[in-house]
Parts: sequence; structure tokens; C-alpha cells
Amino acid sequence: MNSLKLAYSVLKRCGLPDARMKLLLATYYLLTPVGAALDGLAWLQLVRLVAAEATPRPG
Amino acid sequence: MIGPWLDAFGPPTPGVVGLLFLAKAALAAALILIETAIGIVIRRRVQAACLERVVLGRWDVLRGQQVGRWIGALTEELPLLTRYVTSFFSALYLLISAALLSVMAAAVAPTLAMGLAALAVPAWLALKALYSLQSRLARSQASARQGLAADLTESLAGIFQAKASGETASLLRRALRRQAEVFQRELQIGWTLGVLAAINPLAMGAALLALAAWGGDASAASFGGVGVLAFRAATSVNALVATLGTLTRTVGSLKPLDDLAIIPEEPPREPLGERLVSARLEGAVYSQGGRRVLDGASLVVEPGRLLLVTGPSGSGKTTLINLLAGLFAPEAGRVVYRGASGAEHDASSRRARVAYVAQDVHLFSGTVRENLDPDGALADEALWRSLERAGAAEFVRARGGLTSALAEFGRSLSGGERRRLAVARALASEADLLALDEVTNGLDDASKAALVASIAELAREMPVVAVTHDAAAFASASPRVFTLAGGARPAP
Repeated sequence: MNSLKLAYSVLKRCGLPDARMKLLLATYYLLTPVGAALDGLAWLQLVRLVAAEATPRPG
Repeated sequence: MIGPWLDAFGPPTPGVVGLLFLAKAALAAALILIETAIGIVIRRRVQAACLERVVLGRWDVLRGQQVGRWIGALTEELPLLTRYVTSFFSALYLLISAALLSVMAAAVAPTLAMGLAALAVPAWLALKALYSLQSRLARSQASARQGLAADLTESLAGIFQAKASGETASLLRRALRRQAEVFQRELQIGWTLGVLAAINPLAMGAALLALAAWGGDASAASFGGVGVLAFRAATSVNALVATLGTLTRTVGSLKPLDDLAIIPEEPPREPLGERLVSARLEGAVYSQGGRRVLDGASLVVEPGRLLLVTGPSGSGKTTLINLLAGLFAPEAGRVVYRGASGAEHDASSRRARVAYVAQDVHLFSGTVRENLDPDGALADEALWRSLERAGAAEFVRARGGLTSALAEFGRSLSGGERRRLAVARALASEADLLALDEVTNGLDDASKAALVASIAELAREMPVVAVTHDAAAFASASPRVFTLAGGARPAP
């Protein structure tokens, strides 16, 4: 935690995060959960697809 | 049936699944691009800001530090600091990904997912202990790395003298003194990486065994669903573990950059706003390293005659120049600049254009023109005029003029030529006051006489102060002499 504080203090003394960095970070963390949800959904749908193919159809 | 909530997305078809994977790939690429951009923003800004600190920092703070440490911090440590910060952002990203995938796994089959999560606790405790050790080693390695950079810079700066005196072996030894320490730490960090590499597959193996044991009554589909989500979450956790490792291994680079970032800036001083006519020291007191170097010195530098400051080594000659230039602030007394209008300004609030020429002249590799006028703002005529006044025009012309090339530190010139060129540079910058520090040191008699003649000529039209321990060299200039007694005593 002290290291994080130190890193933040170096950045702050150097004028960061500036507007550009804030915008990049905001975009990054906005896309992060979307990316993770897409990842999980894609794999789950693949499993469902395989399971549906493997299940004998009635009749 | 896995996760009935998934029905909301409709029946899976190969086309939909394919599109989902394509969208996920595009997002992953975008995130990496953004991460790279954040890294560039940090490196650019921190490097520029720390360099500014070094250049604009207070001279009395900077002069006791090692240049090599600054170079090491700005080149080697900075990318590591950037990696530290971007790793922190990636760690948050991976944490969010792993958490979201775990929640999805819990929604598919809660019992299986909880069982897997319980296994993560002992693995995490082992990792924590290893990271703490890595962090300690990284700090110690960064300190050794800084020492190595400082040793290399100091030693290589004296390579020519070492070659001349045949002491290259001791120079190499000194330059590489800290190398063993740096690599010893690196090897220790390597051991911790080896143990880390073993922990991950162990945890993964245990998780899969547990899945096989507890998933007996689960349907094949939910087993497959949880398995694939657990695998994806574990991939994120693996990446998170690697990223946290990067955090602990780069933590040592924070201190050297923090040391630069906290260098206090010189207090802001307004330019004088007019031509300087004279500079005056009134009862200046200054201590250094617990020693009283100057104790009430008073003198005036003005055009007409060269002011020569003499005295034994350590008597405060260079300190006196630093005070006149406004680089040091006196503990008591003051430094006063008098302008052409007759107005007097205190050096603590006003900045005069003082050109400082020392025994070790700072010249760059490049042309004579670039050395005289780095910004390229002056016309050739102005540069030649400065060279004439400094008595340097003749040898510059003989070497091919303003476009002739100089070696690093001006090594392609003789000692006398280097100092004349430095005086010419000072004049080209339209300095108001010329301060010369032991400029005749190491010169032959002819070079000394020529340099002193040029200085005496300049002293008729502008304030010039020269400090020297060799007063005889300046006798032909008929200077006013100010003698410092020396024998500094402890500061009260």
C-alpha cells in the first residue's frame, strides 16, 4: 500500500493523471467488464451449443 | 440445463457464438492498445518532469548528488515505474474479469464454484509471502542498480586520464564495483519466480481434482459450463498473479524517481529587466556542510577593471561566485544588482544573466555554431563578434569556421581554446556579468597570457570576476584583488 502511495505521489508531482490519462483510464475500465462479460458469455454459449448437439433429439 | 438465465440470449447458433468471440477479440485488442497509450503518457510526462526538476532544481541541493543516479533513474528506472503503474491498472482489470467470470460460474452451479473458490485461499497465502520477499529484493536491487549507474558515470567521465596514467584496470574495477550486488539480487528474484511458476500449476491441478470429486452428481453441461468459466477465471487469475509479480519486482524503481520528483525548484526570480551595471556582495555569510565558508564578505564587481578573488583551496572562492550569480542564497547579508537605470535589485527576487565559465568547460559534440547558440537564434555576424571579443575567432576560422565539428566535451580543442570558446558562448548569450572559475588552470604560459588579455579587455566594458589560486597569471590585467583568508571554522 505504501508503494502505491509512493507511485501516486511521483505521478502527482509530475502532473499526472492529466486529462488525457483520465480519459484513457475511464475508457479502459468502461470496456473491462464488457470484455469480461463477453468472454464468459462466448464460452458459455459454446458449451451450450456443444451440449445441445450432444443431447439426442426427441423422436 | 445450465444457467436458465442464458435462455434470455436465445438458442446458441454457431454464427452467434462466432460473433461473440470476434467481439471479445476486438475488445481485448482495444484494451491492450489503451494500456500501451497509458504507458506512453506516463513515461513522457514523468521523464520530462523529472528532467525539469534536475535542470531547474535548487543548486545547493543538486550539487551534492551524483549525475549517474539521475541518468539511471531517467533511463533504466523510469520504464520500470511505468510498468509498475500499468501493472497496477492491469491488475484491477484482471481482478474485475476474474470476479465477473466467478459470478457467472456461481450462477451456473453455486456449489461447484464455491468449492473451487475455497481452494484459492492457501494458494493466495503462499503467493503473498513470496511477493513480500520479492518486493524486498527488488528494492535492494534498485538501490544497487542506482549505485552501478553512478559508479559507471563517475568512472567513465575520467576515462581519458585513466588511459593516460595507465590505470584502466582500477577504473574497470571501480566501474563494475556494484555489478555483483545487482546480479546477486536478480538471481534471488529468479528463485522466487521459479517457486511462483510451481504454485500456479499446483493450484490448477488441485482445482481440477476437486471439480472431478465434487461434480459427481452435476450434469455434464453444468460441469462443462463451470469448468470452462473456472478455466477462463483461472487464466485471469494467472495473469493477475504474474502482474502482481511485476508490481513487486518493479517497486524498487519508485524511490529513485521519487528522489528526483521531490527536488525543490529554485525560488522564482523575475529577470532584471535592464542591463546590469554592477553586482555587490554586502556582508555575505554562507555555511556548507557544517562549516562557515564565508563570514561577512563584501565586494563590488563593476566594469573598468577585472575583480580577482584569490585565496587558498576551500576558502570560499567558488561559493562567492555562486552567491553573485544568485545560485546560493546568503544566510546573512545580501547580494545586490544595480541596473543601468540606477535602480538596485535584490538577487533573491531578481535574476541577472550571469555567464559562468569554469575550468571544466561544458561543450557538446556538434558544430561550433551549435555550441555557441544552441537555439539557432543568432546571426553569424553576432557569433563572430563574440568569438573576436573572446579571442577565439582565429582558431575557429583555422578549423573551418562556425560549421566545424567539435568532439564531446570539446576534446578536439586544446584547454585554452575550450575556455575561449566558453567565454565566446557567454558573450553570445548577452550575459551581463562574466564569472570565471580557475580558467587559467592547466594552461601553458602563452595560452594563459592570451586568455588573460582577452579577459582584461572584456572587463573594461562589463563586470567580470575571476577566482583563482594563481594570482600571478592575471598580473598583466592589473586587477583589483580581493583575498579570502580561508581557514573556515565550524558554523555556529
